[in-house]
Amino acid sequence: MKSLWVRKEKFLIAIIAIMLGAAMVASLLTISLDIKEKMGKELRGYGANLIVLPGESGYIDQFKPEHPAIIGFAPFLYFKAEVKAKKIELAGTDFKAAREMNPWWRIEGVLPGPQEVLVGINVAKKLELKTGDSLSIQTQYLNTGSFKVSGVLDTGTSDDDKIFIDFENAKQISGKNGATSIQVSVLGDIEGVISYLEDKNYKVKKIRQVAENEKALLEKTQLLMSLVAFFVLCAASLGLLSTMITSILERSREIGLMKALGCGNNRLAAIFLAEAGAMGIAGGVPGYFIGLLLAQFIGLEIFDMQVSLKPEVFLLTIAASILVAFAGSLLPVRRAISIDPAVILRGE
Amino acid sequence: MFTHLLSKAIQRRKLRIALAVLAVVMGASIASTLLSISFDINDKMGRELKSYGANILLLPKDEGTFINESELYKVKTIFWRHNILGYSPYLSDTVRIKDSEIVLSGTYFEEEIRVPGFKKSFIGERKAEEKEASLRTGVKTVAKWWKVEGEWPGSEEVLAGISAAEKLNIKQGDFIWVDFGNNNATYKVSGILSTGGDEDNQIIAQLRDVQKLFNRQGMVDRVIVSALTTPEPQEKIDPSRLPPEEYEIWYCTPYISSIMLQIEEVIDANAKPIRQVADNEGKLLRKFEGLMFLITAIAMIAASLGVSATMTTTIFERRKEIGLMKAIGADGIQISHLFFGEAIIIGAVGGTIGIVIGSVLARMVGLWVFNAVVNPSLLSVLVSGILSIGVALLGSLLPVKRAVEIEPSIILRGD
Repeated sequence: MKSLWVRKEKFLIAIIAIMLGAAMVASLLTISLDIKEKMGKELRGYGANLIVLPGESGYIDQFKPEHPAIIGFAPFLYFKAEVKAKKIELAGTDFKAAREMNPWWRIEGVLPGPQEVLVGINVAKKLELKTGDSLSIQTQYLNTGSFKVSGVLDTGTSDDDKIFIDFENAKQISGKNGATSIQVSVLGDIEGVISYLEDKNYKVKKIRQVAENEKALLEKTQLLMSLVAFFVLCAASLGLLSTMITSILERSREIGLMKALGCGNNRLAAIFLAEAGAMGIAGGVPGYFIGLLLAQFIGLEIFDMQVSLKPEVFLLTIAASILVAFAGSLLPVRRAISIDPAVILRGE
Repeated sequence: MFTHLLSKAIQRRKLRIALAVLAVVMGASIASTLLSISFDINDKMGRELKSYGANILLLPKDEGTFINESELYKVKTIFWRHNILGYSPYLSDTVRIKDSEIVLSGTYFEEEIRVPGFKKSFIGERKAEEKEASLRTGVKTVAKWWKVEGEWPGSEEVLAGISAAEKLNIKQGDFIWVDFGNNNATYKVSGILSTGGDEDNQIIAQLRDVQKLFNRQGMVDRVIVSALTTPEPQEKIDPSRLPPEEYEIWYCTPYISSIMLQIEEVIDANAKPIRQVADNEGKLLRKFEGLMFLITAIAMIAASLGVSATMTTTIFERRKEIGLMKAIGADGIQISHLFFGEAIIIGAVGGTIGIVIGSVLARMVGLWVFNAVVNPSLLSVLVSGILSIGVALLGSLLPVKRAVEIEPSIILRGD
């Protein structure tokens, strides 16, 4: 242990090298283990990936799923009615939920309250409606009073051809007692959610545009990150190896001296390997924490959330640091041991 | 004398020099691999995200009018024509089948489009010349998630959306009688379509058949276009207010807004972004790019420090040599030249090998993850090269300076 103190400076360099390697490895491993979940959350921005339809009953009045993978849902009640003497498709919904589900909805105006409607941009053009106008909705059941247009909806999809209305209003007007379809957003085990909902006698459809691509994209991202982490791991280990070898090579004289003083080969090797182990830990532990900080920084910067900590990363990082430090000492120590001390001590 | 000394110094210490070179090789290969991927991630991930479908919608200028089908090839003649990956026109209307009202849509499933050769000049005297080419396009390219049970339709054949098929009680192989006003036609159901979207409630046929039934030859009422785009900057740009030079930059950047404008210039229609796809695409691409660049920066800093550490160690152990040189009359400048020369050689050799390895690795990652080649960009090669030499020099700077300052007698006396 004394040797560590005497040669502080040189050890410091080796320890710093180990620390940096460990920091890189720890941060990349943490991120690549978490990337699937983080990117999965980002991809939920594409909106619902499942549609739940009523089974036999014709409509869904109570939808209370309790599955951890379901992160959101929005009920829709579709019906046709006459507006300004034209047949238009209307959709009743819970606006807050629908807005969360479809973050790309661009609304000119505000989200409607009761007795207000959101008009798709194509309908608005066709019926010459704008924000602030009022309209009346007629069905075979009744002729309702006037609704105020609170905003115009622009999505670029078929939602542009619909008028959106408060869910309770829709129930009154259409005479139906519940939702005709429910958009569900699932993060993770989508097949599990499908069988969970089918057990509850719902009919479930995958929105293939979203659901199919999500899986492929997440797998690609994961693969990319793992490959990058693996390359960096290899490169960091090799770089570390060369630092360790260099720092021990220059101690050949010391080894020669110790041998000349009667130190056995095994003992010598034990001393150096213990030293390497100590350096591995001394570099690996702070390296891991620096790596965590970096991973958190990336998580907050890119995904606006913290990266979850994985205990296995700590073990892996420390193990890799010690292993590489060992491997880096083994080769030069063996060489130094096998040489006659007299040759080394004589000089260069 | 200098070169002689330098080459001798390297020859005598092969192993240690090799180790220093190895450290630089590792650093340079990490830097060039990650940089190459970062510079290309936008394009590669953009292509992956295109599997979410078209991001631009073309609609007729006025209610009740149509877009001319024969004009559509022109999207492949705009400035960013190579970024247009495909398009698919639609013509839809409500028809009667078995006494139910249902939407019948005509589209391209897989159509070979001829794009005639042209000579054209764009804004700012940018000339373009293209030979005649052809493009395979249609829903098979633009909407890859369509799942067909049965066969894709030929002429006089249709796909029945899964909900429509249930409602009308039809299955693959059935013939359906379709009424539209005074016109009618019989189609064979070649397959059942499931998408989870609006198409599930529709009957889809070849565009030509539907145009004939509706008596709207050569007309379409909706076109979806799939284009590779660059994320728009955070702040909104109003192109009409930009000064000419900035306008040219905007026009010549593949933002979705500039591509839409270029399409409107050649086709008589209104272009709109399909927000579900377009908004998310920009957001996700920015994230991927940010992620890759941060990782690259961190890895590069760590690799640089690692290389510096190795260089420092290499020179520390040669203090005796330096002392000896000083004792026999070399001055500080000569000595530092010698060591810096060595560092430059280590940096250059290590950097070159590292860049080659990095390019191979980047290629492998590209083929493996994206099934496409990631080409090393000139910038990534330059940055990694300069970084290798710079870091090797920087790593030797401190120990050489210290060694040169010390009295030779103290060093030579021994440890």
